[in-house]
Amino acid sequence: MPNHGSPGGGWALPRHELTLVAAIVAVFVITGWLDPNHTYFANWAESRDIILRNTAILGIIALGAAVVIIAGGIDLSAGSMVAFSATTCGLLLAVFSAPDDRRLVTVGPLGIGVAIGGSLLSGLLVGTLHTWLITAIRLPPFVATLATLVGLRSFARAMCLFVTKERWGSESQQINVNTPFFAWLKEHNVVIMTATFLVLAVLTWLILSRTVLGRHLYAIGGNEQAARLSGIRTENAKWFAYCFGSLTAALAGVFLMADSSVAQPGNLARGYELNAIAAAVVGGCSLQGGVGTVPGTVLGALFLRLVIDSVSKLIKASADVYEGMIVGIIVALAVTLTQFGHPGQSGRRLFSGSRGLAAIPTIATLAGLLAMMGGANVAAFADRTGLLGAAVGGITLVLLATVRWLEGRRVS
Amino acid sequence: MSIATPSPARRSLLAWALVACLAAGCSGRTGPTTPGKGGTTSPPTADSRATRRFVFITNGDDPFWDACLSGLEEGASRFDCAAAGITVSRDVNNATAEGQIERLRQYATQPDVAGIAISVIQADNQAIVDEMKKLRAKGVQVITVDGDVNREFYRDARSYYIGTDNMVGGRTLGTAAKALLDAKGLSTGGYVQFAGFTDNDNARSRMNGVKAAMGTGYVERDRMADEMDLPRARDNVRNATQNHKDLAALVGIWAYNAPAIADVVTEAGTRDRYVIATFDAAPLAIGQMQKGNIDVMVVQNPFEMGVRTVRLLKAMVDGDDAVITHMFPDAGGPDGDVHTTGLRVVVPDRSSPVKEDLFDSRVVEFLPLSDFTAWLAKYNLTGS
Repeated sequence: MPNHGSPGGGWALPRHELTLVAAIVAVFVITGWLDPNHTYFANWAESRDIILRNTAILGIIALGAAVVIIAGGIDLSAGSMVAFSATTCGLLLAVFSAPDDRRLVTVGPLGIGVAIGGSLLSGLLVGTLHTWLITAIRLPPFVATLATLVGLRSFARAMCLFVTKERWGSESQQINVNTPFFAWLKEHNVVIMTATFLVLAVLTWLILSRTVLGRHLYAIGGNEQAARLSGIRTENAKWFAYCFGSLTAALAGVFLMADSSVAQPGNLARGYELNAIAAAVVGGCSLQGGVGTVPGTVLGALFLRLVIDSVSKLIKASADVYEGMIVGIIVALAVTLTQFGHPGQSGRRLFSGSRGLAAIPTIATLAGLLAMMGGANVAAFADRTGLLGAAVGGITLVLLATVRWLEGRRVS
Repeated sequence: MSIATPSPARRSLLAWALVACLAAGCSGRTGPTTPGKGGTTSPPTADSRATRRFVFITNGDDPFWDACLSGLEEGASRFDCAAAGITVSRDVNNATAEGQIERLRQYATQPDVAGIAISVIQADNQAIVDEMKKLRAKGVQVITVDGDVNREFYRDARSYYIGTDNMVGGRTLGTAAKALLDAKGLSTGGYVQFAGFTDNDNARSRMNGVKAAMGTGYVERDRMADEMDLPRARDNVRNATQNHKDLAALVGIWAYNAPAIADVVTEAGTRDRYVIATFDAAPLAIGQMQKGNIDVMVVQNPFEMGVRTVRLLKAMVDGDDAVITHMFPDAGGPDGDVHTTGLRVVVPDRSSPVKEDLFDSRVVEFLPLSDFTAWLAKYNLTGS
């Protein structure tokens, strides 16, 4: 087990977090330099707001995902939980609005309080359901949360159709939210969401590193049977982990509903669960459980969102086409580096045997194609995409071949 | 697991300090370079403004937008954008409001963006409207194309709208569908309308138009939304045909609904039971009409939308009032900020029960499929 991430360990610097900070600075500088508008240098305030807003949403969900992962579980339902919570909030606002007010501008403080409280309560209930499925029914966490991943969104859609029909006489698949309080929340969302995220991060860090419960979560994630035999009530700790995961997703749902002025259960936050898990993993959480830190998760979320924003700055239109590919590459790289540590220390080889040999041209080809496709949208390379692709592919090939050769020399 | 006391706290504190330093560093950077109120800034170099951009943000991914892109390219060429240092690009949204909000925010940070055209995915979405207004406040020209904002509340979010009069489009499709049903000797029966989102402004207007033209004899059984998910679009057709036994017509409101309807009824062997009336002419829909699986298509003109988008944005950026007045002669009057691009009614051939005299020739051009495909070929288009 790496010595970072769990409550125990030596006096070593948090190498993973340091690496992330260096990577964040590198992405910032390189993007600012390559972007023809130099937006990060010339107009940083607006880019900062976008990055902070998106990091806060992703980070809030990622903190919940990290706690579940540290406890040895997985929660695939976070995106659907976000949609479910936002829909619950929107529908409760509809119930407390004037009968013919489909824009929800007439909701008073009581309605707003009930709507937000109801959304957060829905998170607790779903977390409790997860714990019951996992501890009493003995479903694997992957299966239990997969069921709610598909079930919650569908339930939210049905709920939306039912309540809007009952309330307004015609079905609607979405609820437009123009309530003044949520408009205010949207207007100040950068500050409020970032502050909430940081407070939540500090609380999570305190729980994980300063409480018995936190140590129990690491212990369960490290070895559940040993933890149970040592007297830890694993079910209670798991209940906390899954409720915390769902609660953070529910909180993100309220923020996201305010930010987009709509509760749309069909596609709100679709795929967010994977980005949240990715942020936790990039931040150093191990999917084996028992390893991970809050600062790492915070930096992981910031790094992911910065990279995604960077792609938007460099590829001027339809940048999200590349988003999934880039997140995938980052996750694979982060886990690879975490597992292998410093070259030469772990004893494992990256490119051993014939499969390792076959992987080298595959990766080089992918890198070249990615550079060629992405370069077409970057002004500096737009008319030299073939050359760029060949150069990147060639350099990658040479670098990886060199790594394999060095690995071979070390073994011999 | 080892439990050594001081190290985790020190490590975590150090990590927190790093986060804080990073945040402080980020904030610190804003000092000398932060722009003034409103977030605008002088360009960093003269070069970065050498090229200005017009960006077209779609509502989702659909073949309809391919014809629009061809129109954007034609417009860029016809109005000599290159000489003016203007490039035109299309940004395909992911069919969510969040996606459009995020895109508008991104473009607000980029000083080379001079004009935005957007097909608004949710007419009543306050957040989209707010971002459009922020762009306008920064001096970026903003227009809507194909999908407008709710004009009752949010008209000031954009300068102009270019597109179809969707209510007229719906009425046109409904008129054609009714003629086909009447020709089958029917006077009653049900119909279902299919679209990506039934709350979307253009879908809602079209559906209301269809319903108004179909009259009271034919009953609208459902409006089914697929959220631009193609497998779900097919499932909706399957469910509709199984759930409503009196169904006589299937109405596709968005481009991809047409091939979805035609595929499903062909697979089920029930083509002869239904009148199939659809919007737009996706390449697959044209193929299905050639096979006899679609009875009528009411076709918008996304190609012309693209051309006129570039024309208008360039005129707005250049301050060319003559062009703007030509496109919007009634500016200042009711709906004077709306520019319609016309409709075509396409039938398999002239033997169709749908006849030219059913429609107002000032608004609708009537074409058999062969003439329509010849027009597509002229502009190297595969659909419209």
